[in-house]
Amino acid sequence: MQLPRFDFIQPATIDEACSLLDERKGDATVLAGGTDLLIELRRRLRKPGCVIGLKEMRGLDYIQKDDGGDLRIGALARLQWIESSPIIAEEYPALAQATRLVAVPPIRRVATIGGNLSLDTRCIYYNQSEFWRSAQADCIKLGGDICHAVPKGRRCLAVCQSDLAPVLMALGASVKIVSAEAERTVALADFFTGKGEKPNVLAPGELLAEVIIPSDGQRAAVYEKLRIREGMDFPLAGIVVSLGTDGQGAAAGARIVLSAVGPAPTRIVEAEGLLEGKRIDDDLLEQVAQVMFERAHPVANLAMDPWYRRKMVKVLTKRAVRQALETAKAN
Amino acid sequence: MEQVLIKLTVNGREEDVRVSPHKTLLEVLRDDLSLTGAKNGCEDGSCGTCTVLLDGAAVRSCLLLAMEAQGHEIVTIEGLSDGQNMSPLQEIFVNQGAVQCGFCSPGMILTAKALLDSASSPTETEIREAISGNLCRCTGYTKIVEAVMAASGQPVPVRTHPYEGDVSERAAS
Ligand SMILES: Cc1cc2nc3c(=O)[nH]c(=O)nc-3n(C[C@H](O)[C@H](O)[C@H](O)COP(=O)(O)OP(=O)(O)OC[C@H]3O[C@@H](n4cnc5c(N)ncnc54)[C@H](O)[C@@H]3O)c2cc1C
Ligand code: FES
Ligand code: FES
Repeated sequence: MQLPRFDFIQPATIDEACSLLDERKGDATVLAGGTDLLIELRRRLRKPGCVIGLKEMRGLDYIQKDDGGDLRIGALARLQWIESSPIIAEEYPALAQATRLVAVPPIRRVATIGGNLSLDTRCIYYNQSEFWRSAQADCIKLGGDICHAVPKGRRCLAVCQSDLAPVLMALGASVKIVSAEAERTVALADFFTGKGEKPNVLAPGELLAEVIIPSDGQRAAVYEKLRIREGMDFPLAGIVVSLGTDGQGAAAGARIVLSAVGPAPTRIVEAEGLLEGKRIDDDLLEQVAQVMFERAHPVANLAMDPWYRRKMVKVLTKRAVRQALETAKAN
Repeated sequence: MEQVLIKLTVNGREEDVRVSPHKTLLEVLRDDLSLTGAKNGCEDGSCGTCTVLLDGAAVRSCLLLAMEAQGHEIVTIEGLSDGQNMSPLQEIFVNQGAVQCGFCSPGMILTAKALLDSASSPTETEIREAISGNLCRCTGYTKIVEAVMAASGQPVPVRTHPYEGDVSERAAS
C-alpha cells in the first residue's frame, strides 16, 4: 500500500524545524526514525499535508552529561546509540536493557528516543488499514464517539506502547519541549495525558527536543516486559521497579511504574509506600504485587487476553522487585 | 508534492531518479530502478524482507523515504554478486540448504552480511539476535543460522533428530 501524498521538507537546524512547524501548524508532522509514523500514514491514520524529516537535522543527536551531573539525550539519539552508550550502561543500565527490548536491531538503528516517547497509543481496532476500519463506525481515537474494545465505553483506552517511557519515568526523567515561540520542561509524568486519543501534551508546532535524566546514585532499576514473541513484539504489560537500599538490606526510595495496560505509564505510589524501609519477604512481595494487580485495568484492545495480562502484572512485579533488590544490594 | 530529482548511490552506481516525496526507498528500488531483490512483504516493519544496507547497516527500506536515502551508500542483494557468480555468502546459503522459497533470502543474506562485516565470528546467540527481525516461513532458521556460522568459518553444529533421544529413552524403559 502506498503512502499518501505529502510535501517533504528536511530542515537543517532546530530553528528551521520550529519555524516550519509554526508555519504549517496543524498540517505538519515530524518524522524522526519514521518506524511508527510511516506505518500510521500508510494506514491513513493521519493525513498531514507536510512531513518534516528530521534524520539529517543536526543539533539533537547527542548523549552527554551536563555540569550538574544530569544526563541529556537529544530527541534524535538513535535507540542503537542508547543501548551501546558506555555512560548509560554504567549509570542507567535499565534504560539500556529496555531499549534492547524495543523491536529489532535494524529498527533500533533508525528509531529515536524522541519518537519512542511520542509514540502513538495502539489498539487492535485502531491500528488497521483504512479498508478494515471502513467496516465499522469510527472509534473515539478516530474522531467518532464509540469504543469497539469496551462496549458502551466513553473513553479511549488505547495503550502506551513505549518501552522507554516507563523506565524513564522511574528514573525521574523530564523532557524539554521547544517551539518557535517558547521552550518548556515537563516531568515525564506530566508529559503523558492518560488519554488514549491524545496520549501526550505536545501541541501543534511543538517539538520534543531533549530527555533529561537526573543522576541515579546507587539505585537499581529493572524493567519486566510481557510480550507474545520474545524476538520482537510490543509490550502487553510492563513493570519498572527502581530502588536503593539503606545499607541493612531494606528498600529505600522505591519507584514502581505500571505500563502497557492503559494510555499512560503510571507510578503506583501506594505500592512504593509498602516497600519503604522494609526488608522484602514473600508476604510483602505478595502485598505489593496485589496492589499493582488492583491498579491494572487492561481491556480487550491488544492481542492478548486482558485478564491474563492483568494476572501477569503480579508476576512481573514480583520478578522486578526481587531483581532490583538483588542488584541494589550488590551495588 | 511535485516530483523531485534525487541522486541515489545504489550498489556503487549513482542513479538519478525522479520521485514523489511519498515514495519509499523500497518502491523506488523495485519500480524505478528495477532492483526487485528487496521484497515487499508486510509493509509494516515486521518481516525484514525489504532489508537493504544503508552505509553498511541493515535497515528496512519500507520504512525509509527514498528522499531520506540521498547521500548514503545503498547496497541491495543485487550488489553482492557480479551479475554472473554469487558471492561466497550467497553460495553458502545455497549449499547449507538455507534457501527454500527464497522470499526472505535477500533480507537474511544482507542482514548476515552486515553482521559478518562487524563481527568476524559471531556466536549463535548473536546471529539469532541479528536475524530476529527477519521472518522466514519455510527454512526454519536452523539452516540459516548454520549458513552464517559456516560463512564465518566456524564449525556447524551437528544436530541429531529432536525426537531421537526421547524415542530411545522410551524404548529402554
Ligand atoms: C515491527 C516493529 C516493532 C516495534 N516494537 C516496539 C517495541 O517493542 N517497543 C516500542 O517501544 N516500540 C516499538 N516499535 C515502535 C517504534 O519503532 C519505536 O517506538 C521507535 O522508537 C519510534 O521512534 P521513531 O524515531 O522511529 O519515531 P517516528 O515514527 O519518527 O515518530 C513516532 C511519532 O512521534 C512523533 N515524533 C517523533 N519525534 C518527535 C519529536 N522529536 N518531537 C515531537 N514528535 C516527535 C512523530 O510525529 C510520530 O507521531 C516497533 C515498531 C515496529 C515497526
Ligand atoms: S516489508 Fe519491510 S519489514 Fe516487511
Ligand atoms: S525460505 Fe521461504 S521464507 Fe525463508
